[in-house]
Amino acid sequence: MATRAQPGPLCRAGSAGTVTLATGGAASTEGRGRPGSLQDETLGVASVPSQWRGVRGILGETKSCQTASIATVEASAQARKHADAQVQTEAPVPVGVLPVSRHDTPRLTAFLRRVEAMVIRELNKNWQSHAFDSFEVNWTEQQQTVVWLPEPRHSHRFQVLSVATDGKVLLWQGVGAGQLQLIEGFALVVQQLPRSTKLKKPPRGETEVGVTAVAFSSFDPSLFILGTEGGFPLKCSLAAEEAALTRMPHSVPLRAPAQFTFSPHGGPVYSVSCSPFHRNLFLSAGTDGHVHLYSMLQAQPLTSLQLSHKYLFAVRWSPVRPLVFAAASGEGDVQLFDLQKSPHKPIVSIKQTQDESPVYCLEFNNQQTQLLAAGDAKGTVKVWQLSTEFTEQRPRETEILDQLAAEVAT
Amino acid sequence: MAEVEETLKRIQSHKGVIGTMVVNAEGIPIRTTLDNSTTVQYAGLLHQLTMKAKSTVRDIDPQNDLTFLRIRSKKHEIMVAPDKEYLLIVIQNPCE
Repeated sequence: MATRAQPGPLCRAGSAGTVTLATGGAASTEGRGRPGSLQDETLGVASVPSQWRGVRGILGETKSCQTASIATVEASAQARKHADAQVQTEAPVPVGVLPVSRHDTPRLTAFLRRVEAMVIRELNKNWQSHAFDSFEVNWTEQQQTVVWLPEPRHSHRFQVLSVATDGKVLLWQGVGAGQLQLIEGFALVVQQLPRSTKLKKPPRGETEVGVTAVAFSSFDPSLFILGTEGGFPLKCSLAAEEAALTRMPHSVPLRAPAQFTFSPHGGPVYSVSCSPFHRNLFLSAGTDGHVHLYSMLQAQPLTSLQLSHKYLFAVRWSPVRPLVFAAASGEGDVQLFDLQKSPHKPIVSIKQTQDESPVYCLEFNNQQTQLLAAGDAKGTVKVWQLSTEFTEQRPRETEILDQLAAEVAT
Repeated sequence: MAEVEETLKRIQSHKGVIGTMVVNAEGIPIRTTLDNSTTVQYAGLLHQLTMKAKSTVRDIDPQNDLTFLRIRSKKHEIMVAPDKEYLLIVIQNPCE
């Protein structure tokens, strides 16, 4: 590529060519015997740098961009909605024992120093004490009272009404031999009582009224009087419709029977008795030693008689004498009253127990009206025979009773 | 620190003592000799009862205050020594 034949200046080329022939080309050119005007010339290698890349690079140079910048706007965004189906965490650790921080320790030490002697004294005392030996507590709610009721429309069949200090009044019916089935229930709640007297404002929620005594009206088979632990008698009806405020579930729906609240005794009422001769009169007796004669029409009692300095456990109207009633006292007496003869003092007081242990119950006999039975703390029941003074109705007696009942404050 | 532990040990070593615990004003146990769950149950319930007893005493007579609470049950006697910041509860088995 670099060798070419060309005519050139003879003199200079001739001398150089001779040298060249003599040294490099002797073997190939000697036999041809060419004339000396044209000589082969071999030049040194010359290299030309390629401009291909550079040229292309120069041409491709960007001077400016003619496209306008593209404006972008988000028309809407789609948010991802997700819910955790289940999360697995460590089981919750219950509140454990908290370590005392260091600055609390002196206070804790001081506290323990203060109380240690007292606690140890009590521990020793308690270990040696026999105060509770053979003491057995009984927490079961006792059914206070039951009464027999003739079943409506079947006078030969009976129902049983039970009342208790848990505020429940339950009506049972005999099914088969010795079986009772609960058919109706009532519950007394303080918050639902008619507010006719100035009872202490009850706390919120529901507080049951402990029922301690029950007596049915002799005139209205659905009407009954309850004696309560709070000391106030309640007029109630089996026909009540209103549901009782109770949170606990019961086997029968409970209703609120109370219709009227009478003004209270000084303590729980232990006994109530409805007059067999007047539809509005009833007696109540209780721990305050008083007998109250109430009219159903007013809260205040018509009469209040103190018969005992201890408790009165029972009071009953005579079934034959409209103005006679009997009361059983904590001093062991059975007292007979005649409101016609002596409205403030008993006309007869029978000592039932010699040691003044209390008489708990008494009952007149509706068939053999001269008999009065009374039971006492000794476990004995004594049947007393009453004189004709207590068994034969006097003239004008019902009239006087009506007058008594009419003394309702107006 | 050691004094606290020693006091509790002294109480715990008394006859019939089943457990001893110290509860703070929030009803959280801070020292106990019983197991964790028993302690938490006793502490929470007795704290509530002690607060109720305290307010009962104060309601009856505002100048009075609860100094000690003993609970006799069929199985145990529980004693609570109350204070502004802490309660010390000791459970004792009274049967010899």
